[in-house]
Amino acid sequence: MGLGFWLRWTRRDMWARKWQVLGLALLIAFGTGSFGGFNAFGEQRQESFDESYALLHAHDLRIALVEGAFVETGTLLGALREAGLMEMVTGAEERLIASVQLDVSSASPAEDTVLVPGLFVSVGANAGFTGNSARDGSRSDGRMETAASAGTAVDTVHAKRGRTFGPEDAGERVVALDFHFAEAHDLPSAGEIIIGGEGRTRYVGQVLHPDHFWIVAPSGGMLAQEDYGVVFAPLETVQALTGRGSRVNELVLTTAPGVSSAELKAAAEVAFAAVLPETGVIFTRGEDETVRESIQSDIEDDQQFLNIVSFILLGGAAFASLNLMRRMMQMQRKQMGIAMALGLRRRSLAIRPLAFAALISLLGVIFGIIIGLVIGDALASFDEAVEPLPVRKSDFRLNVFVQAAFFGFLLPFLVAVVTVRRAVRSRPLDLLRPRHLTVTTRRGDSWLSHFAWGHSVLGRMPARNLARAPVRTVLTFLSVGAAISILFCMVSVGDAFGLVVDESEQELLRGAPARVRAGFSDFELVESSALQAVTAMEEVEKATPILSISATLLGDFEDFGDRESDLVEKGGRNREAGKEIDVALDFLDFENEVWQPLPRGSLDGAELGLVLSEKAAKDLGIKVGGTVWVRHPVRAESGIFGLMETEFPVLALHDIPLRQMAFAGIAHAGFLGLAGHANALDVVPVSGMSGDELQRHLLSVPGIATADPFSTLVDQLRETMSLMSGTLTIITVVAVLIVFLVALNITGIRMEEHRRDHATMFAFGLPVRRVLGVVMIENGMIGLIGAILGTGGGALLLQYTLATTSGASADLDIQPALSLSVFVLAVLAGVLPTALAPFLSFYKLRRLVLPSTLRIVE
Amino acid sequence: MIELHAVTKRYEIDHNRITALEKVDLAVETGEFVVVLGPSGCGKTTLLNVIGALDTPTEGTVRVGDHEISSMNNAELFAYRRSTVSFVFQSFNLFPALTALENVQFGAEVGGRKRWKRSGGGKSGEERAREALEQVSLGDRLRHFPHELSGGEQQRVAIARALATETPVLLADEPTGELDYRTGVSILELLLAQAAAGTTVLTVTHNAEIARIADRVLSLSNGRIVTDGPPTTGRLPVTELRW
Ligand SMILES: Nc1ncnc2c1ncn2[C@@H]1O[C@H](COP(=O)(O)OP(=O)(O)OP(=O)(O)O)[C@@H](O)[C@H]1O
Ligand SMILES: [Mg+2]
Repeated sequence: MGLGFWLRWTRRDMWARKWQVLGLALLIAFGTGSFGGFNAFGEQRQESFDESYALLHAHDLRIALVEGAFVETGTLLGALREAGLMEMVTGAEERLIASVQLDVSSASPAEDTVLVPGLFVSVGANAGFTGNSARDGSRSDGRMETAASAGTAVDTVHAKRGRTFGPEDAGERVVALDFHFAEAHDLPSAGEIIIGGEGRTRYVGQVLHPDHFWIVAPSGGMLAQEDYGVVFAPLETVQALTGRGSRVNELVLTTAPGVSSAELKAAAEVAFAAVLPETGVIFTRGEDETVRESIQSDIEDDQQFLNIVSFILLGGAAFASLNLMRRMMQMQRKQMGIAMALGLRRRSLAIRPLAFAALISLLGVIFGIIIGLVIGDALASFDEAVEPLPVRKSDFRLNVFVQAAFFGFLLPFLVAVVTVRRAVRSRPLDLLRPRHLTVTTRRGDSWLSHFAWGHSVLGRMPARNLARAPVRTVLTFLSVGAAISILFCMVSVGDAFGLVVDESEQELLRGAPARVRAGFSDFELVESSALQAVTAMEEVEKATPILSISATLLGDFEDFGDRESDLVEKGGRNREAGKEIDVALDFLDFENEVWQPLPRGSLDGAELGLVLSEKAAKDLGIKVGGTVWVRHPVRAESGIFGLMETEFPVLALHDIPLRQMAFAGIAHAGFLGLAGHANALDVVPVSGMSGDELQRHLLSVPGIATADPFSTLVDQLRETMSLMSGTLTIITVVAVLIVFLVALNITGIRMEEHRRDHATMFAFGLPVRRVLGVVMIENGMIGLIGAILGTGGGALLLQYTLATTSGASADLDIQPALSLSVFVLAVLAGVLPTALAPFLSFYKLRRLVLPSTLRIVE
Repeated sequence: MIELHAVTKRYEIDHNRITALEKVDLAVETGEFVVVLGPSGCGKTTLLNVIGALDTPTEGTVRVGDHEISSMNNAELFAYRRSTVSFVFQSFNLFPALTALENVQFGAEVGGRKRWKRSGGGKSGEERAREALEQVSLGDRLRHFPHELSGGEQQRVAIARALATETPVLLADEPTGELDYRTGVSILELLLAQAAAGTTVLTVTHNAEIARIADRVLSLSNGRIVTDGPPTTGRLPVTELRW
């Protein structure tokens, strides 16, 4: 008998059980597919970011003047040259960044008024020469050395639509819009925009800038592109349109080969302390930039999370396929027994079941690669919608899929090998003994008869059947449980996200749903006409002055000995020494009539100290009554802004689940050298007017740079959450599909296994629906126990997930939200598919041929 | 009670026509004890299946009691099997997940409450199952699972299950096939007693010796009834049977 003979037989075996084979192959496929898809996507996302940053020459160090400080063009670069640091850099670019108001109403296809706060960012003279290899080549000769730039371009832009700047724009005032913003408003690739009320300016394209792969509003809202526009232009254009003359406020650098950003930073810190001793200068390494850091940790967390999820899914699928493979191999035992009794050699004996197993596994792996590609593609296109990138990798990840295929093929196949090996080694007699009569436990079966709940014998069958094959039953529990735990966790995370939004909404809009934050372009005296004019507007019911600054909470240094000496020794702050949290610190009157954070714990307006979010306090390990070091800007007598570190007491914690929100009494503005000053007003419109309407009125007031309704921040949060739930949805769908497949598979097996019992029942006149009922209850029990295991596992997974979130969600105080509905959902997701799957067998059961089924003598 | 008219059952596999039953005419009275005799493959099981509505004849009509089986719909067929006939299968077909007692209890309960009442007594399914098992001398093996019983014991459980249904027609396919002489005799006595109590009993065997205890013997050959009447070799009381 040649191989052809065995393969023909195997093919017939497979065909006879085609649905089970297909179901098993699909289970393997979903396990390997999610594993492959998730991991391939993770690799691709990381590489896409790395290459995007590289393509756009993202800076390695940013030297920024503190808010409100500017210097003449060439000063910053000059300081660098003077200190002899040009050796350490490849490219250097001075730039001007300013908050502006944007009006793109004329370009908006909806003919809406699109008037939003935004950021005007200069890009270097060389910037236009990237993103195009032909021009890249010409850059080496055509490189411009100007007062503001040296070496190669830094932080260039990439055109998603339209174009970037080129020589053809020389002498013209043209700008480019941030792609996110343009996309959010459906703007055409070129058109007109009004920047800061300075007349119409032409924009020539929609671009991506490495500092703005995610759009973060000053209020801290992520994915804020709808309400926060970034616009790019050559330096001269930005200077002209913002009225800053020839001044700049930032210098960005790329390091020379062999120089680390930390080295460059340390050197620059020393150099600038000498050149600009009074001005506050902030040095930020590229990898420490908030957006870049957020993205990087988001990638890592997502990857870690998806890794766990894919392992659980793979595990669930593996348990199920183990189970099915075991069963299929058992069904071949008898045939092997006969062949053995007929004197066939063991080697030949093993061929058929092994070929059978191998073909199923192979089929599973092939489907798995297809499913993996589909999942990877879905994740990538979802990701591209959230974070469009200049470089998007989508190549096939052979290594990942080889790994996935390895697991997907080997696991089920090994089970087959073990089962077959055991069968081949046993005596033919044992194989011939009807398997359906024997029980797989060694303990004997008297304990089985204790499974005797219910009055009718029929009612006892389900539990009895499950108990008869304990290994198989437990494996099934585990596979259903694994998938349910994923489902449970995903839905709970979604709920927790929703809770953050709801709580934010409740806290931020408490008592003043139409509250708007009106920001001034400068610090004004509270008594000044600029502030008074707004308070006196007829659209304004009440207003309260706010002094809002960016500050950084500094983590504990206790472990590093005396902090002062530590700083002295290191010649600056050691980033690794403690955790830093950037916050928007609002100084306000705690007794004002507009809004105030509802603190937990007592709060005396006169006391100096901070009101922090619970998340910030937890992350820094501080409690109410303790103290926290804060790095904050401070204005000197001369009017120049510097940076200072001050130790503040922590007065109370507020209930807003956003980490970046911190508050202090405005009476203490003197700490910033800004006593009696404010740079914003929290304004409530007269009744009947919405925050959006008030925003429009406010933006037409001279001196007001921004006007943000707090409802917008809540909307941004909601948007962020809904985008984040895209991945959750994909995972949930896979989990539900796995439950369905497991349900179908166990039903298929059960139906085949109990065909004879069912025929006997029919012979005694038991109606189909009651027979079906027995199977449904049996399956439902598996679903129920799986769901119970799943909720337990899901709760653990949820704890883990929330404990490790960072990146976009690090600023959110996400609490596990275990609502009853999640439990109900988990139970339904476990029980419904399993209990209802037998319905699909209804017709098959009705058409069961009784005489031949009953005739078989095992 | 049972009337078959020109019943034919054919199977066709790859143009190869197999006739399991050929124009069978048969009438059995209520309470009659009929033995169906014949060599392997002559159509005995098929005959029982047709009477028990497990199989439909290719041609001909089957009438049992007031029921015209050939014209019944599916629901009526189930009801008929539940209320009118019960089987002892050639291959037992016990439920492996149920104990001996529970297997028999299944038979006692399958007909529903209505029939329990009719049987008087008002006994529970479990009590009646216990009794049936006592009757086949398995009162001490109630809690054993089928795979813990010998072939003969399994067969007796199958017989007890059929008895427990208390249907008017009992169809037994080789009920003594796995049994030793003494046990076989007691089982046959049991079936005879059932017939005496009014149950119509059809028993299949290929053993001509056993057939001698019957009122009436049907000899089948190649799907046809060749003889029909009292045993040709003369009737014997069960106690004098030898095989
Ligand atoms: N599903 C089927 N397809 C084809 N032929 C069948 C089928 N079922 C039964 N037969 C044939 O019908 C004939 C009668 O079968 P039946 O089971 O009634 O025999 P039997 O008299 O009970 O034999 P035994 O004493 O061996 O049990 C046999 O020749 C058998 O091969
Ligand atoms: Mg037979």
